Amino acid sequence: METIRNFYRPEDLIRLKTKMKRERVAVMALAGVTLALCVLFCCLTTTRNALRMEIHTLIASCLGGWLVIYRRVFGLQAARREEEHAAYLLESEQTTLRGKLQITKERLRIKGSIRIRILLLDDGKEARRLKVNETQVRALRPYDGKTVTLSLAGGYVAGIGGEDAGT
Amino acid sequence: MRVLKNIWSQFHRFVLWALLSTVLWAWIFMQLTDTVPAKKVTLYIQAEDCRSQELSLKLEENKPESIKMVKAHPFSYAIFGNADLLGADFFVVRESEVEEMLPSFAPLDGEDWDYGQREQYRADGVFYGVKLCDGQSRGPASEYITYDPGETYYLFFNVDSPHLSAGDGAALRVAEALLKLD
Repeated sequence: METIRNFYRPEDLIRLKTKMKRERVAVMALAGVTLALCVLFCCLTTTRNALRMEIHTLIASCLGGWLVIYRRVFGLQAARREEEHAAYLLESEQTTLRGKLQITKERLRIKGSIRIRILLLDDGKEARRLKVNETQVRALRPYDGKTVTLSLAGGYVAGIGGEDAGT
Repeated sequence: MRVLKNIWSQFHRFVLWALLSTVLWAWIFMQLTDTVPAKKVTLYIQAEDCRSQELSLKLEENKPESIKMVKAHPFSYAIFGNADLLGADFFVVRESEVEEMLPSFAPLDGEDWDYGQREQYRADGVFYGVKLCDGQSRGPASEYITYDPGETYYLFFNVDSPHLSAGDGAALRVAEALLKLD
């Protein structure tokens, strides 16, 4: 029987949860430092240095805010989506399909969810359109154009089994 | 490259944050560096150029104890509405504007304050203000105020000011300090 290598295992879910918590702490720490800096500049303000302090506060607030936005969108939200996706795949019932794999360039983006890449799996009768988390495409790349067994869970590709996929 | 692509995808958020941040901190600093009218004396100056912050600080050096701040502004500061202008305690105005603004000026008792030997501005026999300078003479605080050449300037008090003789007289004391800045 062919070995299926799943993209996510229960220990990966723990790792992703930890990563999400770390990202949340980082975002909150960045926001806290930014706010603390701004409050400090406000406390140091006198009539004489008001304009200079306002400019310092504005620079700290802008740069800190931009870092918070960047870290929240590309760190925290990305980690949360990945964790939710992994949990969904692990909770869903798995089936397998065998056929010739083709990785398309078609991408989908559902608001608030992961980026999806469309795959075609041709079993000789029909070519099925399958969805996979775009971050996993790299793992599928060596099997592009080859006959493989895919594990499906909740409508997504959850793992792959090929000639050497299990090793 | 990936970072740049990410930044570009969130560019609208970065711009929005910069705008919000600017408005928010401008408002907070306005609150921090301001106080209620009862605690400040406000002066509006109708001059070509005015180093208002430096002048405020100079006038604050000898401010009466009843007030916390002296605020000097050019007339252009009230560009978004004349509510601030009408709330000022005293004005430095060009002669050409005096007639139009006269109803806003307080009639004065010459004994309330020390205006030196300056020429009085009188309308219908009532004393309203003093001449600061004309085309030939140098006005007070000329280090801070660039008077328009050839213009005559007067100092008047706002009829609604709470800092005249009927109040704490703080506007009169600050005006005296201004007249002494040569």
